[in-house]
Amino acid sequence: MIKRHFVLLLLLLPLIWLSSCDLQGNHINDLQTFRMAVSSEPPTLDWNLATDSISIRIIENLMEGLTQFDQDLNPVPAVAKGWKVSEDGKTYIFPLHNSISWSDGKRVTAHDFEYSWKRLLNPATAAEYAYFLYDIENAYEYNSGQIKDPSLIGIKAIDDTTFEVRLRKPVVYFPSITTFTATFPLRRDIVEKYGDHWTDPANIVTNGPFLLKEWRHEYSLTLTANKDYYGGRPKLDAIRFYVIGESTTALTLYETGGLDMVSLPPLAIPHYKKHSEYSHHPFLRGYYYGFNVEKPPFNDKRVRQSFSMAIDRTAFPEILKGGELPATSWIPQGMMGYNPSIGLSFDPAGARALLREAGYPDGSGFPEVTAVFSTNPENLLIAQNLQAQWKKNLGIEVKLDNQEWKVFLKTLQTNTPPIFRLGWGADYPDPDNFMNLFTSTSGNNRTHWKNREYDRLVEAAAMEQDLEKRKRLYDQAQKILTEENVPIMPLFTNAQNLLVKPYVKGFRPNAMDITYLKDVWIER
Amino acid sequence: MLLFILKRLLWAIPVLWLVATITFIVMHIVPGGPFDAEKQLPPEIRANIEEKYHLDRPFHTQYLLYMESLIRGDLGPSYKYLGRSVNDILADTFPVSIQLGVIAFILSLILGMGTGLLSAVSKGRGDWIDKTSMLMAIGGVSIPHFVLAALLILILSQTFHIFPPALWEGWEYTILPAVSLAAAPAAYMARVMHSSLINVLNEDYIRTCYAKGLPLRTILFKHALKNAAVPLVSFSGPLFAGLITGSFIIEYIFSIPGMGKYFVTAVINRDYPLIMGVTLLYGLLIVLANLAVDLLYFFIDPRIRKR
Repeated sequence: MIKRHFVLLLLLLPLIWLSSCDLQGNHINDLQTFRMAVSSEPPTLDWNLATDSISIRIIENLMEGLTQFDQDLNPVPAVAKGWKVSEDGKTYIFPLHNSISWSDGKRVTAHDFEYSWKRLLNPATAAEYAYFLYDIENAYEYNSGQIKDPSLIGIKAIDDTTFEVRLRKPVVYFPSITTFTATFPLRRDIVEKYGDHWTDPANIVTNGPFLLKEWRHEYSLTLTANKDYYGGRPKLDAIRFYVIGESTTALTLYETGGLDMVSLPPLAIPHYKKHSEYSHHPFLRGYYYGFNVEKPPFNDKRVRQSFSMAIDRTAFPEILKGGELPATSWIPQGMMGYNPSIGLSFDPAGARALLREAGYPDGSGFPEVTAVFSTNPENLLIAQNLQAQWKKNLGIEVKLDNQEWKVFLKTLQTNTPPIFRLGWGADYPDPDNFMNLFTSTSGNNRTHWKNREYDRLVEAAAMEQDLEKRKRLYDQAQKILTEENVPIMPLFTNAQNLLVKPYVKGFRPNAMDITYLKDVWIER
Repeated sequence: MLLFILKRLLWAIPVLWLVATITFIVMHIVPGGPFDAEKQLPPEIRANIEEKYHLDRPFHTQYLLYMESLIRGDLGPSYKYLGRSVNDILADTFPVSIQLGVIAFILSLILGMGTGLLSAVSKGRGDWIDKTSMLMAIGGVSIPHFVLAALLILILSQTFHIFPPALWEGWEYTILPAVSLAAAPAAYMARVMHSSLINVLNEDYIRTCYAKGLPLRTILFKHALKNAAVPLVSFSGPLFAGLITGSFIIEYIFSIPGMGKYFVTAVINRDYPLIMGVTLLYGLLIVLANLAVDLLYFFIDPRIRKR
């Protein structure tokens, strides 16, 4: 009898232990809590080190830098009151507000910016986005170890409220770079005191509209309103970001009332398209196929042009159903310099003529080529469609090969395939971020294409103060890129597809996919 | 007995060393590195990062450095989750996986043994019980757990609103993932239990029990069950280790902050120290679970004790 009870107790013990375990999170059941999903754990909240969209989305609500974006993605003053540019365009002076404080009450000063920028450039920090500041005098030399003295870098806090930046060349979009999280100010005392753990909720010190209250790794982050925020206390009491990797899980939670906003997985878009909570927004992310211009047959630009002209790009939104915008030009919609009239449009007869000229009439004698892309259902659908279109319009059978993401990246580096798929998302909303990609010196130009005229135009545009002249320079450069030389074929730009509950007010997504939540409130 | 345990524990050291070495070599052979990304890094920045993590050193130096810190119990920094060590990550996520795994394990034991017992006893008497329970067992084995999870969410969360569809906030959040995890092992256990119990029930000593006029309950629970459970025990060890280290798919579907997802994501990210960390922890648990199984045999089966 005793033995039997003992066995029963033994079975029950783990259950008793489990029921005592802390499965319960800290609930903030306030009506003014906004709940949304992020697709993975933010790799870091150290804004010098963060490079991914999830970390950045959270940091953007915790912190403010010299400038931030307005709704049209133009940089506008934030911690800085504005900026003055010297006549030669090489020196920027940012006067700072003197009333903005950190969450521990200390004032935000120009020294916090100087420390942050020099830390970003310090080789020991090993920050991936240090190159964002390479346009600053001696920044590259310091980051690459050629000089050891950080005081030689063109970054200086002249006094508490004046921050000076000296550039090696005029860069008209420089204020756009200061909207970027990596350039936000940092507190030396906090970083030095807590080391790697300075971003823990108990240690972190911020200056933005929300404060980091709790970070349950791999599960959720809770931000609460900063009542001392210089722009006025935000209307929301709290934001809860849940880490939800599976997009259909997020959708189920949205439907059962667990989330207030959700990004729709492509498969669900047709079902929700007519839903009143559905909205669709442009997204500064381009999807393209590139050629290795050194490998035959794509070392002949007529072949490249022909391949680009043989694609009916209107097919892609029909396949992906995510409101993608077909594109023949490279600068995406929503960005200065966008010009949809540039690029090679669908012209099967013209494409065949060019192919004939190149020595492959109706595709005969065309060598075997393989298009390579990274394993992903969206990429597969697009690749299969391209394969069919090239077969139909050019008579060419292109083989397809997909590789796991990191293997694919290695292949691109070591043995660039004749045709490959890639994409690019904006780091800052300036066309330079897109156009610079295909200059001869860009590490991200995997096409092996080098064009001096293109390089010159892109460099001149980066320095051109006059907006109209700048647009013209980009038009010329885009023509070389997508009409004359065609090292890449832009296919479409992505879109954001959201469901937002009707009681969420003031929510305005932007094309950078940055969600500023300080103006959002809930009205039930 | 103590000597036996000590010997087995000492054996774990070379086993884990071998696991660590093979994993270390294989993950470095796989193409693609931790810092390859769509936005390729300038070579200077790549050099800074590689220096920080000693990835610029020769392979054997990297191996020795890793082994040295491993001996100190330091699993190294994660390359993906900057500023967090693998020790931190495992300390955060492993307890969650243990919680879910233990519930799923107990559930599969109760369901599996119960069903197996019921069907074996009712064989030849109430055939429909036997057939229904074995049919359920076949279903449990053949339906993948992600399909079952989706079905459970659809029916019990979206349609009837009985359980939450995901997240990890209280006991009610553990039910659906635990059932999804437990179904397949429970079904397998039911089948093993079924056939093993039928064999045992045909043994001479059970016939003797019947001849002595013992009631069925006593025969079953006092004499038959212990011997019938022997094959289950050997299965339970690795199952327990597998369940408490989490499941990538179940954690993903239910958004549970456990460590199971790292078995996949650490490899996708080429987060070398995290790959090593989860592999070694899993290896260690398998070794311990097998030791526990052997000890359990010792207690249940007198034949082993005599040897």
